[in-house]
Amino acid sequence: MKHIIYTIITVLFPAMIYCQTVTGIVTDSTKTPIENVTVAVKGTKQKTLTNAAGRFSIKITPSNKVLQFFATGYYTLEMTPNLQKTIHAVLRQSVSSLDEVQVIAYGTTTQRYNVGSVSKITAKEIERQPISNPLAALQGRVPGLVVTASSGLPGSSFTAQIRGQNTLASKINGLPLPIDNPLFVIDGVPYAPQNVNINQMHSVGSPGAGMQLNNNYGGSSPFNSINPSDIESIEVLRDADATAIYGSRGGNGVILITTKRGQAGKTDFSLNVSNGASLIGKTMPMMNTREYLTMRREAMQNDGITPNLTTFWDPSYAPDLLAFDTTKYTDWKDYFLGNTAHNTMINSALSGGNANTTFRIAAGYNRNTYIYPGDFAENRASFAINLHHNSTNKKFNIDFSSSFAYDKNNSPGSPNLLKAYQLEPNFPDLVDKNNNLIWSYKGLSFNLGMGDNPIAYLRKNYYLQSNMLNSNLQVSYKIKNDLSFRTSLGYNTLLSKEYSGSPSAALNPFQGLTPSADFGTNNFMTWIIEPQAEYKKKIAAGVLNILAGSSIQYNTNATTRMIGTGYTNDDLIESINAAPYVSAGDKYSEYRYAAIFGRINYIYQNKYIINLNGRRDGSSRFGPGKQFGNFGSIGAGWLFAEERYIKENLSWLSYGKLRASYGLTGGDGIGDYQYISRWATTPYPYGNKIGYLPQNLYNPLLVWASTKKTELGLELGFLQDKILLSTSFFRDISGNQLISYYLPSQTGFGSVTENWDADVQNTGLEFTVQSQNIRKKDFRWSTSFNLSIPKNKLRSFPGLETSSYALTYKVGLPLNTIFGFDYAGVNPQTGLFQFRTKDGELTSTPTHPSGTDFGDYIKIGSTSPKFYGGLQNSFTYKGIQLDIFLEFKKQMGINYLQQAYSGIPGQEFNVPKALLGRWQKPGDISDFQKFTASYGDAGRTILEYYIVSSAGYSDASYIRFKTINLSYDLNKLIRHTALKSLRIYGAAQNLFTITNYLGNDPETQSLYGVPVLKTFVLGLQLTL
Amino acid sequence: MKKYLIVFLSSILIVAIASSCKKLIKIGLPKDELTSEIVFADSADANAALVGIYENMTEGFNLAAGTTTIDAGMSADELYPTATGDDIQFYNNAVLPKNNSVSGLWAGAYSYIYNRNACIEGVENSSGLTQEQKEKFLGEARCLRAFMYFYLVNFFGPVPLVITTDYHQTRILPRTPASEIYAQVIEDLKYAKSVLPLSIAGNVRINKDVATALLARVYLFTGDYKDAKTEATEIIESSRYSLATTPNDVFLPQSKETIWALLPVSPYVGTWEAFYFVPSSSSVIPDYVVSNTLFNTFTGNDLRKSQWMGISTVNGSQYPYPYKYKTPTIYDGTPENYVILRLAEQYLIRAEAEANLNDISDAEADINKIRLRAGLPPFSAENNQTVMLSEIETQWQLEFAFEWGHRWLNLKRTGRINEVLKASKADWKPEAALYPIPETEIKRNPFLKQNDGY
Repeated sequence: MKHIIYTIITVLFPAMIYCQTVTGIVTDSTKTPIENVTVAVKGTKQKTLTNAAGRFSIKITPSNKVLQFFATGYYTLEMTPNLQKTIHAVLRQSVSSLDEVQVIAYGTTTQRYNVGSVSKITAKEIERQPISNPLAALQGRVPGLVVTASSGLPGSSFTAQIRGQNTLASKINGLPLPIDNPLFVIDGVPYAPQNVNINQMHSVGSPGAGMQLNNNYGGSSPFNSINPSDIESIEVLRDADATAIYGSRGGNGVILITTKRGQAGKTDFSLNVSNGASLIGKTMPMMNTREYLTMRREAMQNDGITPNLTTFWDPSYAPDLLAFDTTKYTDWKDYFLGNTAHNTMINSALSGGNANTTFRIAAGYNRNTYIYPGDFAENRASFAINLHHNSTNKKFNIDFSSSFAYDKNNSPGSPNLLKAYQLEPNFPDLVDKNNNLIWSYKGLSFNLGMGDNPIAYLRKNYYLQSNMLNSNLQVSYKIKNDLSFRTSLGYNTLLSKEYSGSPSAALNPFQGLTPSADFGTNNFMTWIIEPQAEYKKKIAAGVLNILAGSSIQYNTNATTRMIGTGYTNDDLIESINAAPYVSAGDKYSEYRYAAIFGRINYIYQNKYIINLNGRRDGSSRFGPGKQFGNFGSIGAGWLFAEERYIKENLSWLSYGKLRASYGLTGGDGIGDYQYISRWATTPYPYGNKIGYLPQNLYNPLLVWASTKKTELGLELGFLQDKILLSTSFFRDISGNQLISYYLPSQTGFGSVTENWDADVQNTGLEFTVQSQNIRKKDFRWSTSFNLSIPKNKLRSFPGLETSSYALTYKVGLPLNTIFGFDYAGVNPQTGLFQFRTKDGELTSTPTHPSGTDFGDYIKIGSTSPKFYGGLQNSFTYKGIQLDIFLEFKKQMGINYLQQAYSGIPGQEFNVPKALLGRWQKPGDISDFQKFTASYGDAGRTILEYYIVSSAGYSDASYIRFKTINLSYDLNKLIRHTALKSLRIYGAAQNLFTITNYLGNDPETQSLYGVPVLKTFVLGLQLTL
Repeated sequence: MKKYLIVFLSSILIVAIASSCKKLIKIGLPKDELTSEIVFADSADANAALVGIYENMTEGFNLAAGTTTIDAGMSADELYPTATGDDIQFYNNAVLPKNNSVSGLWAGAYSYIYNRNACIEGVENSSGLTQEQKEKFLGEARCLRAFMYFYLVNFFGPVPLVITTDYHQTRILPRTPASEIYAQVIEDLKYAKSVLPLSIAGNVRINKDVATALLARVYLFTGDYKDAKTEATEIIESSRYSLATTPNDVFLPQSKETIWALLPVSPYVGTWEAFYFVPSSSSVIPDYVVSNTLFNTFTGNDLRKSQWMGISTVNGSQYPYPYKYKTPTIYDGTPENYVILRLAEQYLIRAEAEANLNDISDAEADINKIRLRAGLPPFSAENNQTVMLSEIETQWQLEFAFEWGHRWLNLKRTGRINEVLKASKADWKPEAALYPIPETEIKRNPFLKQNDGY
């Protein structure tokens, strides 16, 4: 086509008659010819393309003899040819990130030719952060992805959500449920546990849902078993084009983790060692003894109670006022949380190979201790192997990757430790000379109308031990140049073992508790087989790529629990054999999955791209006739900067792409066996007969949930891609909601799995800018920035008024909307909190919602972030490199007051110092109501209103200096040694946070939780 | 070779998956589970479905396994808790709608009711059971359902009346007036009485006498004294039961006084009440202490004082605790059954019915049976109905002290609750006589209204 057009043009312009023909060849720096290079005569419309051998011929005139060479992935070259010779143009490969390999579903591409919405985090970005969980590495770096830490303790979980909440039932009674997790795939194998907590028992890192500890997502992350330093890249797939090929499981987005491969060449040994410390950041100060006793006396006085030392079941019992030393003071928060945790990391890898075979063998060790006093730590040892072999003719390829990790997290077992610093500040000594726990003071028993001995919490041991194996084997064969077959076989298993013990040394002898130990296992397994065929052929001026494949997957999850009681010797407590009384139980579920899928991709003239995806899925989670679903997407892209008139007129625009996609993805994110009515045997026989019990409300009509995703994107590159800008607009509508529908218990069960015809809409804008600000020989400065502005709303919900969600949602508002009383300060006369009724009057007894009437509840706000993102700046001067990464988020959150007032401030436990600003006498204008120690209205009913009022929520936005990394290359020093490179570095994580948040930490948002820690490490990296 | 092998294998797999998807995603049930069709296919499995109900009642610490005694005991003037936690809300008669124990009572009762409804529907639709088998199972299930509704209506007042498993219907049911609940309870009990045999498995499963004894109680609670007397008399005069000779023997497995009891099922816990009430040694503070009010109501020579209460002494202070059940774990002595209905109650029911029907001398005779066994001298009301009723209230209080919440239920039934509890509880409010409907339930069912005062 093109040639014909040019011929016509040539004919039409008589000036051409006087021209001269030049010929030449275009190659890259390794003298490999490059095809499809545009060769143009500057200032004219003369243009041609190189052929497969890199050759071209073009006519020039004496006045216009400067040649320009344009090729995607190479820097543009200009030269004035010597007309006597054959021209040899050498194009330098551009370092544009547009052409880096990007991993997508069942293949790879580059950002340039991808019409889907995909972000990539590279090994370089991961390695600069002193973190041990790969999810932590994603925080703030990916547009559309929110990753939140549940706690600062080692091994604790992270929530991950791509482009907002798609599913209803995100919260009921204020308790959020597992959010829509993306699908996690590691080297082609869906990670068996996905992002589900692997622990079954409570511990300090997993306190469970509850108003006071407010750490609903707490638990142990399955990603602790993945060593971040083995990761080559993490790709986050967001829109329909990128995710529809995952069909039913792509609805919440997909995160692909790819491990590092060996590089051909001389064998390299690399070692990275670091050591560091972690500390807790700013926390709310608690009252000291003097302030605390003032509060207590005032509370008693307000209630007209006389303190005594006998009625311990009554608020008037006050050992802190009458028995304890009123001059003693211990800062319990400092005692428990003021310590330093230590971090050690050693990662080594051997990699090398030749043109046919490459390998990488890596071993890593990681240790993070706890900030609590005692010998608590998370240790991880990991090994990874990657092998690649191809036949010399490159037709046969085999790739094997396998990683194994052992992780043991040894922590205090009692979640009560988290609120240990509520202890009376004048509480007597906790241990005697022999380090045994003390349980009474002056004849008064601890934990009887007063605080308990919190050292006991430290002596309840807990560990979680896991073994993870992930293996993938991929074999491929190119039958012809354009047709290849491959089969991918994967196996992933995570076996965890858990123990939680209460030895007699940790039990209050006055309470007659028996020593006990809880043992559990939780095993996840997945295998997957995915045969695929790929056809790649040049058709017309484009490249057609067809992929067809199928997938069979099998998952199991098996758990066991054994509880032993009555141990007589603490030394034997870690064995079930020593328990006289044992009870046990187990659970098992399986899940099968089968699919066929295909993709057709056509890139025409390197300018126009069309991409079709389709998948037919079957899942064992649905009943007969409902098991199969069809999903698909259509995506298109136009690389408009490749158009001639743009190239010629807007030469500063080096890259421009407009892309759009639309598609249907789904979800089967429910438990197994929900479509059948099941009866299980009773745990014990009655008499000597085993009984049966119904297990569920079943629903035989369950089908897939579906999410329709629409996306529009504009990507621009300026000044030879020195500045890259990407913007996306998306709209996802999730309908036919597959939810655990909450039922009142009168139905016999708390929930039933249902498809609900409610539509949830997520829209948003995402921006990414990458810029190489300065690029000199000695000094380089680059910046990258991302910003996401999401918006969530409930589009429709037929039957909302008669559903269990009548008082949870309102159509048109975000799913995470908080409803509560309208807090209106403290009544200056009564000293009690008051609230504004819906009629605008002030009252201390507002009306609770009931039926479909929200009562005096108002819309307080939404806990979904308003916007969020990150800013990375990297500076390199000679051998010195400095990276600064800031994460920011604008959001509303739960503040400390909700938890501080979950108890009754004025009773016998300590509270934040801030509460000293309380009401004292009529006429006082104050933020906090009068102290009270009794269960009267002031203490009980009003606080119940207060903690569900707007007082408990406030701004939780922050800008966090997430990572600062300074490194220095010592390559000069090692010139005459065997070392290839040597680098020393220092890094700080969460160094400081700019926030107006009321409470400890705007990310974890808990008064009694452990905020994310500040970590400082020093390290050394070398290559041999 | 290699290449053909791979091509061959890949093609086979693609074809295999495309053609046999359905087989590839077939999974079996979990290894310990059955579908409901199989459960009600024959009498052995249907029987297991009923056995499951009993096992479930004893297994968990819930309405039928101790919570009733503890929560209602604290709400009335019988017990106070020593451990920190939400229990204190019961003692203070200030139970919050989000109290876990209250939601446990509610959810537990309705979960049991669902199990019974599922059994009733399963049995009714079964084609593998004879008419006789069906009636026996239905009678048992309906009697158990009535038992649950009796406690629900006494704790919460009007509650949703759920008699089907269809959640599309049941999830939006509003509260049903107490009189309708009682009507259903009486209908279920009458049916059970008409079809059940005298014994199925001794006194550890529902039989005809259990239905009769419950009917007597329900008639008393609905003020139908004549029928209460008739039903109680039927049990008393059947001579299948007799009062144990001394209080210590009342709760033993071989006790002739027991009409209905549950077997312990856990390989560790004896009865939940002993497990929670009896401290591991006499120097340990009990979790629940008997109130002074109750402790002092027992006169010095009342055998029940020494035999049904224990005393712990810690740091010089004495703590009396309930000691009707003596074996917290099955390793502590003879395993006891958890007694739900016993003959003494039938005497008290009849005495109260008679007193209300102004038959004072018969009432005296029945009360004196109870007094005699407690080692107390005979009582005479001098033909005064008020004096008689007052003595009956005291004997209810003592004989059924910390037992199945009788005190709490009786004070409410006789309308004496405000007068009695105002004296011993500082913050008593009449609204506290009904527990709040759990917060979760109100949220999940827009047709459910909260009780007054919450």
